Amino acid sequence: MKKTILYILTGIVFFGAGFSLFAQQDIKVIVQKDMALTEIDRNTFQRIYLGKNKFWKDGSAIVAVHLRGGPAHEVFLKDFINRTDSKFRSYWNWIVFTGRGVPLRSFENEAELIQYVAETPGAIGYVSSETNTDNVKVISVN
Amino acid sequence: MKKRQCWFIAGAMILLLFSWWGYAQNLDWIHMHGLVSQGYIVSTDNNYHMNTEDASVEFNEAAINFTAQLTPKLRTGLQLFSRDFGPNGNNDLFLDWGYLDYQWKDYLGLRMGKIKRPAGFYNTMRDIDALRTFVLLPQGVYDESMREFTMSVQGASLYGNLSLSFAGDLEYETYYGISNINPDMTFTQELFSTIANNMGRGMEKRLKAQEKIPVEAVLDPRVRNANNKMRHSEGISLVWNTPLHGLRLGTSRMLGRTEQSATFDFHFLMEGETVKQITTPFESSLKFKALDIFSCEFEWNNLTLAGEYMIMDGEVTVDGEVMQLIKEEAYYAQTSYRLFDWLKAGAYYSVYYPDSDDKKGENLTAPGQKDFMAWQKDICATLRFDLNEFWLVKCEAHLMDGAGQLSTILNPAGVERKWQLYTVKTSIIF
Repeated sequence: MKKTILYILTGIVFFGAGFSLFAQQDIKVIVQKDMALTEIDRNTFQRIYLGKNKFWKDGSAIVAVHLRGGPAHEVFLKDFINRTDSKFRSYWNWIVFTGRGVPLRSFENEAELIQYVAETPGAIGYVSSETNTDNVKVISVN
Repeated sequence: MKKRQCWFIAGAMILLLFSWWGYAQNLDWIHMHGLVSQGYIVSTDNNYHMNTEDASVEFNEAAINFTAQLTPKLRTGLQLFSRDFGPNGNNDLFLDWGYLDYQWKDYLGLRMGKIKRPAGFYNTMRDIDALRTFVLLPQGVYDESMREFTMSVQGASLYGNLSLSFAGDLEYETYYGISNINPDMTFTQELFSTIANNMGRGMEKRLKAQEKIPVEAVLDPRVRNANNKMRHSEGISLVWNTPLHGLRLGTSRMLGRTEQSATFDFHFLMEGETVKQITTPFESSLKFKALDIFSCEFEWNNLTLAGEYMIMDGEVTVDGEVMQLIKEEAYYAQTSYRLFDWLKAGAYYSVYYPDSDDKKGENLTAPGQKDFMAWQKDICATLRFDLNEFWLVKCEAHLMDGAGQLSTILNPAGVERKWQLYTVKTSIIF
């Protein structure tokens, strides 16, 4: 009986972890090709999109951009930012209307976002995992 | 129109044109946002902040802001604001915030100019209807009649955010500054009225006792040359975003000293229907020794729970002598839940005591005072409809017990213990 419970619990953990990994891989996080960055931790990634981290380690400015909607944006909010779309918008409205920062640049489609990231030093963004990202560098989020 | 308003409007027009030019030139470093909101408010039995018994639409806000990231570390911006809140605001245009912000590192930045004061979790957003579920924030902690004291200062602040890795992060801000306070605001008028009544009674006694002059009655004193200035104010705010996602804890302290001056014309009705006038100047100060707020908020998916506790310690000094000690206490618990993308429901229970040493009103024995003026308890329920990304409508009901925050100026005929307040408000944000 104990073994059965152990197998079930192990199965749940691995299923959960696998599902989580699968969900995380639904988007690709991208930066400009010239950047030395190859990976970023999840906490830093979240802090960047909440306006708490504004500088890379070398002191240069972070230019975070996001999509206005779509499946990749939903994965981004749910799995990385842990906020609903309305709460994410409300949070940034609070920053803008209290003068605590400038809003993040947003894009209607992934092609425009990729082009902007490719051309902008310090930029970071995300697109869905199937999208062609030859012009930019894909980094991992741990 | 006042000269100052003309300057603001001219400045706003220039910025608007500049923004439009920037947009046309595809300059992405200047940002413009704004909001407009209009409310309707009505109450049974008592007037709350304005003439609500007869219903009022003197309940609106409009704002436009511009921000520009000049260099990676240097940012500037301003927000022009106009509001009408019964006798306060009257849609005068003013600078809500405007400053230069130099952020050296993520953990240290400096703002200089007119800055919003962090006090509790929601003070900085109290004018932005679209940012919250409720029309009225819990008034015990976020008293609208005290807005000009608590909203902003002209000065400087140091701020930052420190990542604590696995322990979450810590946000902090400390500031120092001064501000001009409109002497026409209800709170100041209440203060002048209290001081004038006290002085009037003292004069009446003196006339009767020392000078043997037969006084029949003291008529309402007239206040002239009123002035109200915040000499200094400082504060600190700490917010810990805990490792438990969605849970944040905070505390803030605000200190300050305001000085008032005016000339009172007292009129004493004498025997034989003659009126004797005595004119006297006065000076007073209102000192906030400490205004502390302890805050807690938990967000989980579509659910938000929050609670705050406030205690204020202060004193009113008239002509060098302490006239009144202030010891207010307030707290609330609130919850909100987003049922659909377009619908959010919320409720809170808020309690306020103007004198935390007399929560049952046992010391309220003066004529016209009732024990229920020692508290105000508010049960509030709200529905928020997000019609689209930019436009929303809110409907809100309050069941009130007590009259601890009601203005005697707005309720000259007295107050009732049990009353209700209803409000509808719509906002557009862009």
